[in-house]
Amino acid sequence: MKNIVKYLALVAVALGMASCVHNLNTTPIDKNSTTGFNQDAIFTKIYATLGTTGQTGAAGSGDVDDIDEGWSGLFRVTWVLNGFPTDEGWWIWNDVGVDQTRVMSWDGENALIKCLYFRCMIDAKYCNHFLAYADSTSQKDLEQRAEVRFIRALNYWYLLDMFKFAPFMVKESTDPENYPIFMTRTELFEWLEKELLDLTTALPATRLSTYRVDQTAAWLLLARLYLNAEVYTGQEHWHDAYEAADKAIKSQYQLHTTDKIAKGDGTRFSAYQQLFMGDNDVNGAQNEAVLLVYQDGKYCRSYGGVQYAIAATRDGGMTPWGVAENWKCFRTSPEMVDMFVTKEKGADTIKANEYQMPLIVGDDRAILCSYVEGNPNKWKLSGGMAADFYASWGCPKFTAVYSTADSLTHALNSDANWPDTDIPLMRLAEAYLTRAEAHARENGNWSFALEDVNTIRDRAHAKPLDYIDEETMCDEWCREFWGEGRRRIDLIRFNRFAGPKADENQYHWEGRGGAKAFKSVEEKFNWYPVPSDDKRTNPNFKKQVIDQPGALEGGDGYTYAN
Amino acid sequence: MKNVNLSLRAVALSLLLFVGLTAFAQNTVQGTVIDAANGEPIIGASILEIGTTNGTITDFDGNFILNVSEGAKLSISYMGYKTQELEAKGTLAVRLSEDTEVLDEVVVVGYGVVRKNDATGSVTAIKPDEMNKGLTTTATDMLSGKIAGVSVTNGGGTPGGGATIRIRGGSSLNASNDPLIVIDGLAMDNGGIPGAASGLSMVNPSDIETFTVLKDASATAIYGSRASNGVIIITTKKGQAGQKMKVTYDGNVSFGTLTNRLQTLSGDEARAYATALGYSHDQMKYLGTENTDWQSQVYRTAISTDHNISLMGGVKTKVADMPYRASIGYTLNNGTIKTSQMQRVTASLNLSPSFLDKHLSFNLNAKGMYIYNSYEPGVVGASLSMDPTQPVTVGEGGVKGIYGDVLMTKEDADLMFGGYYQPTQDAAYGDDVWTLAPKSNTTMNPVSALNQQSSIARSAAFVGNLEADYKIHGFEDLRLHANFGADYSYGKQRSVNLNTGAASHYYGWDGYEEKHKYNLQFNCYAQYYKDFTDDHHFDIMVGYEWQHFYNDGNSAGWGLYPSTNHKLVDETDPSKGTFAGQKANYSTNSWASESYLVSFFGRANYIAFNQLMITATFRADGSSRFAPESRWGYFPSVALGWKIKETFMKDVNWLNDLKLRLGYGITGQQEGIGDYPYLATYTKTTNYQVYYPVGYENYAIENKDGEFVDKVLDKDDKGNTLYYSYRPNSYNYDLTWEKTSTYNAGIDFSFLNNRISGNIDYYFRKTDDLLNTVTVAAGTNFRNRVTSNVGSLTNQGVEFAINAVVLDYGKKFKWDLGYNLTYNQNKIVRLNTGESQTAVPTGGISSGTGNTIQQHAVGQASSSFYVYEAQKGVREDGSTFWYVVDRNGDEIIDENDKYYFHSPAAPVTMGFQMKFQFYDFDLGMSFRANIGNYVYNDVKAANLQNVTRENYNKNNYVQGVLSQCISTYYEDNMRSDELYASPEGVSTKKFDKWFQTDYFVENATFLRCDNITLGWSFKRPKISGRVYATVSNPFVISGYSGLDPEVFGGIDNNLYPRSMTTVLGVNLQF
Repeated sequence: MKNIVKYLALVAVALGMASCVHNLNTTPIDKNSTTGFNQDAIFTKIYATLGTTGQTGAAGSGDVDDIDEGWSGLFRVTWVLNGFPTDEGWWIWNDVGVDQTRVMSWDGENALIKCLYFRCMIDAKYCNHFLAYADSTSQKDLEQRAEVRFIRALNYWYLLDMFKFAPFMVKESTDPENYPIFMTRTELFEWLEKELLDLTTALPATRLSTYRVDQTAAWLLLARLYLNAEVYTGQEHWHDAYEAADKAIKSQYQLHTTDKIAKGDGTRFSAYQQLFMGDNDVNGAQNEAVLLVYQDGKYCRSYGGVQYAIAATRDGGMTPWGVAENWKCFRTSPEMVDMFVTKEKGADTIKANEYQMPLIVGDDRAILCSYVEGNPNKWKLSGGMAADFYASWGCPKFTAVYSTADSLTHALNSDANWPDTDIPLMRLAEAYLTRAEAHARENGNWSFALEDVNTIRDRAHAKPLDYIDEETMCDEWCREFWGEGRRRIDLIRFNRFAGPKADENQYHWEGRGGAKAFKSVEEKFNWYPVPSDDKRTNPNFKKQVIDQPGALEGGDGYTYAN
Repeated sequence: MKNVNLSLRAVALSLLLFVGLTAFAQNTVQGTVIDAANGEPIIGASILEIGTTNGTITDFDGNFILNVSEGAKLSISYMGYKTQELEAKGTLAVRLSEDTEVLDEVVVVGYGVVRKNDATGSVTAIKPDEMNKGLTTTATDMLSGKIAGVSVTNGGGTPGGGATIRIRGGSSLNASNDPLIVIDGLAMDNGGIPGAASGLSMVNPSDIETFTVLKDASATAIYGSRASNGVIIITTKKGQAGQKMKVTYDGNVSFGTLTNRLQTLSGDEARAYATALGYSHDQMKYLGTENTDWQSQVYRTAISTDHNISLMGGVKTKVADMPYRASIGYTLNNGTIKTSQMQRVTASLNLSPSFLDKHLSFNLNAKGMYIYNSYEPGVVGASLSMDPTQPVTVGEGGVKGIYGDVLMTKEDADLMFGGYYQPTQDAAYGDDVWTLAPKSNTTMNPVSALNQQSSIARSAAFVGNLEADYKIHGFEDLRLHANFGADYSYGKQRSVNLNTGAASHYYGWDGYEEKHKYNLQFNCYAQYYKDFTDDHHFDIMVGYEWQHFYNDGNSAGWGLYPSTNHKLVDETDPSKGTFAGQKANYSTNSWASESYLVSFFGRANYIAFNQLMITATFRADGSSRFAPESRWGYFPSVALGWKIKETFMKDVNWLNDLKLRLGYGITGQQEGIGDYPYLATYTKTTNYQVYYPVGYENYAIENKDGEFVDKVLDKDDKGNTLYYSYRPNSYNYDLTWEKTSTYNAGIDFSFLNNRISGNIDYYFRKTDDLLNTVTVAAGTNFRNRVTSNVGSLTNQGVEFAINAVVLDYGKKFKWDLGYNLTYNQNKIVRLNTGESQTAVPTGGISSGTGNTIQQHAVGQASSSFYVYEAQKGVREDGSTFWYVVDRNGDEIIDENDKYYFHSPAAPVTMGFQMKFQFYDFDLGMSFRANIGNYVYNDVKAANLQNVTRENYNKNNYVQGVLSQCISTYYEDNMRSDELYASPEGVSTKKFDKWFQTDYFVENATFLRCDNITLGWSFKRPKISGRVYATVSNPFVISGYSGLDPEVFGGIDNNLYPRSMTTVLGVNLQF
């Protein structure tokens, strides 16, 4: 007995000791987590970064850290940074980072700027990863690779447009010490030009499905790049912009021009309005959308996509918009209302909702509201920086109502809270205005712009212009594209944003510098600062930006000490 | 020598027997066993003839009779009393005295026990004070305030809710700060399951014999990787060899009430306030005519009960001794918020047989638990911000506004809201019947939430282990020990929201989350003792351990389109029908994960001249969470003890003990970083709400019944094929252990015949290679934050504990005191690589989206408040106003004007216990104080916005307003809509980050009375026991303006209020 116990004990100890160190080599057992490269699923993810913020519904597994997931959508954060510091409107809640962006006084700690910067770089990183693994020469791989390269280029274009120095990396690397280099705007411009020109042939001639891109997307982004080339590099590319826009216009895409009337309540859905409605992927508007971002009430939800544009501009009691969420936190500025109707012309007296307003103002693009029957809240045009949703008109441009709806109260949206409305992230109208502006600037005569501008106005049932100048052209960009996340870009190109050139134009709105009267805003606010986090963590910033002779004097304007 | 003696005696006895044939072969001994303190008979004391198995136990009167051999010696023992040995002759009157030093003598340390006198580390053992324990629903309740350096903060009044335990501050920033919990030798996984908050929930407090807290590294390093935040070893009660079966019953009934609540405006006051704001007719007409006190609607007096029965004793046979204990407990704990309730059944069994002349012993523990937990739907905040002018339910004639407009008809309320009042707006459901929806951004009717939402968790757990201990025959100095343990738990929480409730209006919701987890453990060690001479003792232990942690779970949920929904599934094809009856918002998820730990460890003790003690330990841990190259962590420690009393002061009679302890060691950390942080992995879409219609073969995976099936083609309503996606995850191949070095110096003392004893400790702990989610350069990884080994922080502090018997007149009167004090200073030393150090915002608050109030920053305590400075100014007319100070003087108020303002953790904490005993009565009290802890009053900051003219009527719905916010706004002039960016003259710009000012960060120093207990004990021949009455949490003294100053993390956001509980209870022993 004693011996048996003794030996059993020894055997147990020996067995225990010998086993199990190899257990330490584990791999994931979770079916939602894998170590294998799944090409199609990562390809889907890369497109999905345009319209979603994470892997678990609208919130719960966000892609970007240090920000509320809802703010981290590419559409929302670019919309915010191209819209908040402009005359488009005023965000009234005190969310993180908002106060600085509204009045053009941001710094490198700003959470929204950081969010954009990292959103673009993380998206580019996904693309680099995909390109490193999906490298066969099969038809499918070639198609997918070109599309992924386009989305990467789009992200780098945002970085180029928003920053004076942008981090850049196009190779997959698993070495944490392999830091992106910092490119000047000229360097990044040149890379993008080359990349996009290559994509104008590498991409499929026509898109493989509604939500994918083809060669026209490359031409349109190229047109955008060329149009702003002078801002980016100091070098004009007006003719290139004209050519690229012309290529896009001559593609299979076309402006959507068919108006509809709801059978039940007689509401008129203009062709322009239909671009921003719940069925804009099937109502014909999809033929104008060169890059359409998928959103769906049941299957593709995000607070960083169209939900944001719809809910932020709504308050209970406004004209039905197809879903329930209303955050009442974004309204126009009075200067934005001026684009369509001035106080001199009696803006104060107009009482109209967003379906009546275009008819009163004579422009389908005036999707603004100043009055809704039954809503006791009164819209004013007092503006200012008041935390008051009714201090200037409402701007409910995007709606979840289907253009096939019988009436506004039968919206047909697939969900009561989440819209089906897709985001026309790039649409053909841009090509017309780009061609117009480039043509005029190249020839030094604004009348060259008239024809294309009037094509766009015509679609919106706005009276054709018989005269156009620089200011009108700038306003025309606003009238066509307000609320779509590009106002800052146009204001900068037309010297109406910050710096000495803006001082000459004296264009003013109250959020501009946070002052009632016009004041000078430093030139450095024409771009955003590289976030402090990245200046600190990427040693190349010191090497390539701070330690470069003349870099600080080069107009960057930011203090880079630490 | 002793053995030889005994043998000689045996020979002598045999000779006697031989010689005196006519003499008595046996003597009969009889006697009585009484309690030395009170003279009461002791029932069930065991009497054993030494060296034999011959024995008996005392009867109800304490009497015994035993036949023994001539000249035999008796051992008389009873649990909790000092054992006596006596010559067996004649009539014995045995007086046993209570063994108050049971605990003092031996303390449990990692993988073994040590004599308290020989302990070199900072180890505190307490036996829960049965007489002065207050209401103890969970084990953590018994620790609160009792041990220096151990701070326990419960999460509020949620029945069975968890608590946060911090030992000597937190050693980590982003990894875990929870101590390791070891129950009867089994290290618990600290994560909870639905219904049970943590590993500590697995044990019924009434089964606990002792808590031993290992605080410094020389004591904890033997646990290595999991011990950086200290170790709490729980030993449960056991039976005793030869003991007669004893039955005990503990039971109580308790009444919980809220003694304190935040005052809100009544309906009348709300109407008067709206009038005073000068609202227009249109704005006024939505005010109701009622006076509803929403808080009274959700709170109640909660009656709870607790019953525990245990059997314990010891079977003695020729082959083995078999002490046993079995217990069963039932707890019903009703919360003070209606519908919240916990019911728990626990059962435990302990068998500790020993065989082969005590060479081979086993210890079997099995504990089972079942918990039913019904959670309230989060109505604390809603009961404050719900409109007091509106009714709870809609009566005949509907809800009328003050001008007679019908705000809601009874028909609408009955049809769409279950009869409850709710602010509404037009619905967009695509349904002609359901025309109303709850108004967005308004408060949900809390009574409707209580009655139309349920969230019920049911969980079961089993914890068991078998320890075997074998002293090798013929080589008794060597002991082998093995322990096999398993901890298995399962929990499922089901949440159902009726479609008439505002939370999931129209579609309703029926969802569940289910979790399984287990933790398997095997360890073994060999220990060798050697006393070279009387002056040199040596022992060494080496061991091995293997642990496997596994968890998986799944969740699913959906709503349903009501039958009246007329929306077409396919707009172009009406034949496909409508959505009516289909699932809505379908969501599902499942996950699984595991990790392993393999360890080798050892300890050596050397004691010289009973004066100097040296302990050295070493542990090597391999974790599956790290890459092979960085997998192993090595955790050494060394400690020195010096019994000063034995060296110098043997003759100092008033001094009983004086001992110096010095220790140093390293412990590790690998919690809170996920199971595969070093591996490149992808995360799949885990919800049906984020698909994208671009892809090839990776179709979405919902079939027609909404089940989780791969490769089933799915399309959205417009025919787009949906695809799931994989996101590459960030990873860090170089990740390795976070390490904490601890230095400890302590003195233990006791004097005046041990009437006063205590200890003082100083410690310094530095954690390096913090497992920290730091920002990485954009483009270098798949996220902007990656878990890395970056940064360090320190904790240093002083602990002082003293126990004193102030007065002692034996049975007549006794007065005991216990006091402990802790000072801890936490400081971040480094946060990131590189020269410059940036701060990390933390501590989200409810104003705005994404705003924070705290920051981790170098030179500051973790989670220090980072705020604007608000100052009061005086205008020329004498009125006052608040402005924000331009601290850096650049005439702009921005982020750069924020400053660090205290931290949530109290630098000084104290505990104080007092006990009086007067004949059979006892009176006990426990107090606890935190000094210098700060709390951000988020409730007040969020509610202050509702006071403004702009927001009071928000979208035609009046907010509930705290009375204190009215006075803050009008009397103190802290106005959320008027706060200036700097004093007049510099700028008059309004400042909209007023909620981030120091105005709302308050000193929340408090003194809490944990409990006051009055008891009466009795002892009768067949039964003994005690009846008592306790008031738990009778009062808190604090200057904090919110409801309760004790908030872990320092952000007070609608904590479930802690109630005052009156307990009537009885303990009985048979």
